[in-house]
Amino acid sequence: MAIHRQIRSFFFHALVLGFGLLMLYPVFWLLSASVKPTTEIFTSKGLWPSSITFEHYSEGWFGLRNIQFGRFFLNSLILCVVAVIGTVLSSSMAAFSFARINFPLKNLFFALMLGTIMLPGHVTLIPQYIMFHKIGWVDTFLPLMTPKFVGDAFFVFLIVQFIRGIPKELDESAKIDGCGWFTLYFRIIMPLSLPALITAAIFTFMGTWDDFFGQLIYLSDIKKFTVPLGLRLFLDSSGSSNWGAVFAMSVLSIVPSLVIFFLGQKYFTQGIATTGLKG
Amino acid sequence: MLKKKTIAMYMLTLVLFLAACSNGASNEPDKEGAASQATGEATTDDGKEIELRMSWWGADERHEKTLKVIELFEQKNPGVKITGEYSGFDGYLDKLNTQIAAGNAPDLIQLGGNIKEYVDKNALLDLTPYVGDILHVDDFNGGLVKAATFNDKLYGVTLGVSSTTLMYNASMFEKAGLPVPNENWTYDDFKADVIQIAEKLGKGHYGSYDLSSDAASLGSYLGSVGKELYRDGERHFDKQEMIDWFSMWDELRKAGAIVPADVQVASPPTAVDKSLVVKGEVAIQSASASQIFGFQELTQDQLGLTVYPNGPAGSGMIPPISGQFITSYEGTKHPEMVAKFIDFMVNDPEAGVILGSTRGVPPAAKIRDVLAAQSTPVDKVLYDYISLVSNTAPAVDYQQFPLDNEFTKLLQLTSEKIAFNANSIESSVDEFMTETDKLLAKAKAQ
Amino acid sequence: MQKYKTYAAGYLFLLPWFIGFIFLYLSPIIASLYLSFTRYDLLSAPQWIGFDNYKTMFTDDYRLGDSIKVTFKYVLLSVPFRLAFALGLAMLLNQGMKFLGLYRTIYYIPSLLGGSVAISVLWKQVFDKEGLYNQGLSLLGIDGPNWIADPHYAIFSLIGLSVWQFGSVMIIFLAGLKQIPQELYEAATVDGASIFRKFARITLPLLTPVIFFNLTITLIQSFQTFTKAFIISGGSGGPINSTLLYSLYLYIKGFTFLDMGYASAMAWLLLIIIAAFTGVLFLTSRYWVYYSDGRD
Repeated sequence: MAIHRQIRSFFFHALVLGFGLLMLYPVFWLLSASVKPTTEIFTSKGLWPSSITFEHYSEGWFGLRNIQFGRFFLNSLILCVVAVIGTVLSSSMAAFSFARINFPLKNLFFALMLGTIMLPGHVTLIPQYIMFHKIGWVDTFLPLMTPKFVGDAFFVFLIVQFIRGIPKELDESAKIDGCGWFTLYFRIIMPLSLPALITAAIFTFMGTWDDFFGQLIYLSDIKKFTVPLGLRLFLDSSGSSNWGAVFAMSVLSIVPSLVIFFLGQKYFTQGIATTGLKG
Repeated sequence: MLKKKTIAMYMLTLVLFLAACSNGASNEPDKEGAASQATGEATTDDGKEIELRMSWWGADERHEKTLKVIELFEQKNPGVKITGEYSGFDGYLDKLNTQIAAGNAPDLIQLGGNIKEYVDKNALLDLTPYVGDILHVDDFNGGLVKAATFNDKLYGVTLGVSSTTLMYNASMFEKAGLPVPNENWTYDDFKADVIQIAEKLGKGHYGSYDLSSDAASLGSYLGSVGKELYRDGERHFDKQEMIDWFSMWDELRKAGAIVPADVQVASPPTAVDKSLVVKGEVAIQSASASQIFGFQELTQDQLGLTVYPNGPAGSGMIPPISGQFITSYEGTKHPEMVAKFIDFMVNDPEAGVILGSTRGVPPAAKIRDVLAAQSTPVDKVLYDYISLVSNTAPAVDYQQFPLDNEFTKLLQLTSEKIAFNANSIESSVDEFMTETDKLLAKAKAQ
Repeated sequence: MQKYKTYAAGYLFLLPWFIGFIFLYLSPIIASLYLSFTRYDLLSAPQWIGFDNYKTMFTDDYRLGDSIKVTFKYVLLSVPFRLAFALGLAMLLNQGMKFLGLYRTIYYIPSLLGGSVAISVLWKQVFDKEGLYNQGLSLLGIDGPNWIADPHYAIFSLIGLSVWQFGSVMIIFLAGLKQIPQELYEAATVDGASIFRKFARITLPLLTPVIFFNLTITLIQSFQTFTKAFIISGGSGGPINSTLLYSLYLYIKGFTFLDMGYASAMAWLLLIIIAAFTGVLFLTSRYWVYYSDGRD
């Protein structure tokens, strides 16, 4: 019996892993391209490089004048951390309000909020830029950070859905115990929405880490450049690009998101904490 | 109570913002704002320090060289500070357009073949007043100055000379036992060559990319049969030429001599990382001559440059000379310093040596001579080609098709419809002519 | 009095969003509405032209028709596949088993590459004529087409990319699964319920708020998909407009053809289309979404 189960488990793991590795093929290609000699990157067919070189990594990291790639990582990290804090705080507040408190015009506000993500960003970009330019915020992190502190419709909606999964009797009993709205929000609803908050945090981190267009438009000073902008410094699609450095730095640029995800995902494991919803 | 108040507050804020917004959206290149900001930044230390911003696109090598030249200029001109705003090509123009819309564009701007668009919209500074005095272009080939001259005014200076051209994989010609093309070749030679290469090198190898979607190739072809793509508000070709053009490529496609439609789309020649010329699978593609650096870096095959084939009316090379320009924003506060820096970039021997041919062949003859002494084999291919073109190009005053981007897209769409057999040549060309005339009408209306 | 205190609390919690809405979003949104009635080339001041842009959209733009068709095809195919794939893998990866964290991370990596500059090169490795996918097909004796480059199939490689990057949807499902009280399953097990019955009676109903969320958001995002199409087609939307998603066409109009007035008009049409779909979803949601807070 036990052997039978082991075999089944082996096949199960082999299948999950095999399929996963297949999905990762492009990633292996990227890794291999980052250590291939330049003339082989696009000309050789197989994954295996004829010789391994790490010069793309050193070129990418140290190759830019007056600046190192590490600076871009630092800038991106600062931006992401601020964005995560801002988003989780402001989105959860708005979500709490929408999900748990009754007040006039609530539905209108909710509809307006969803409306803001239905209009393609390309057409609001220019008016927004002009606005930020008028208050002198262009070429600072402010146009990229401030919007994170006002709540993002995507995450507000997400957290609303989760809060609504929490039985309302909990609120009532808390009220009877004399809890104010703030205590209810901070002490009861937030801890119970932890998976949603972690999700929002992970997504915000990655979304900010990857955002090329917004950062390109607002940041001009090389010292303020972030990783997506740094990567493009090697990439002149109209002429010659340093592809080796692009791929090498692309590999490195995935690492922080990967770490954040690996650390965050354990909060999704069922059964780690009791949900406390005996209500 | 509270509800009414909230609504009132909301309305008030809304009204205030509408007022602010209509102001913002009206989008006069906000002179006052730009001016106050520029003076605030630029003239500290009793108005002695001048700050300029310069934007360009490129890869790491070009950034490095351009920054070195800027540092050299700052050394020689104390009190001037130039901040580079550089990036890759992706999004460069989007950002520039946004900055112009907000009246916040850099003082110095690198532009390519799209310079006319910005001249038409009055976004660029007229450099004519500084020519001869601060800015020296008399050493340049006349065509170079002309390329950035519109309505007798100079709006930019070429940083590197290039030319729209054919790039070939010489190693493939060699493998097929063929001599590489020279400047006298004709469309018949071209056809014979590509058919032979495809036959001799076997499956998966093609003599050429499908150039029927390439506006420059079409322009050159029209020139070689005595017609023209565009002049003074009108097209100067007819349906028959377009049918001949697409039929020629269709025959080659059916003969297996040029890449099939799906390969053309999957591995477009315009992207260096996807071009099959680099991989040694296609022998000929259309390119800008200076791109040869980027292509050659990625392959061990030998690459070369040649002119478009000749037709009954001779060579139709169009445009003979192109390149990248340094231009200045119309709203700059320091036009003289801008002109001085431009002059430095193209005429100072030290700067010329540093820049090398990162943007193409330098325009000034004296700098070309200095560089020729220390050129690499790829440099030499480019230099030889540019002097060939300069000597053989017909003396035509080239005019760019208006709404160039839209025309290019239209040509590509037509070409794809024929190549994928989605539509017959006859009806595709009919559609193409109708849409082309619509574009011309639209251009006139603007 | 108590009522007004509640209102005040509601508005107070909403204040950051409200301030942001007024100061950051409202004026650009209104500006774009205004611009949709103008001819605006970014480089010079906009000119009022009334309803001309809207008229052109409905009468004289054959590419817009192509683009809308492609977009609907993309949305209608990618949304269900993406959700089903994500839900299936979330269920699979929600079991208590060894290496769970590793597996989840592996399956999430494709989504991490979403905005990477390298993605177009990478995707070509998979869907090219001699790419990974066709190599797999050839093992089965099928000669696959050039997925990214054939006008009939290009949209499917785009859908494939969208499904491949299912990670974010999966994460939300995982978080949703986590919220379902274990006691319910334990009680059902005691009652002798089968796995299937547990899924139908516990998992699915309690997951409906999250399914509703994913459906709505994926729909909104799919209608606006830009980056994938831009990357795969090199910004052209080709071959023969087969990957010309609405947002890509809008971008080409606004930023390449410098017709931002027209692009703004297109944006408002898209807003209406998306709002209509979302509205229908919200209206039907009361019939199939189950909330534990007892209100609908």
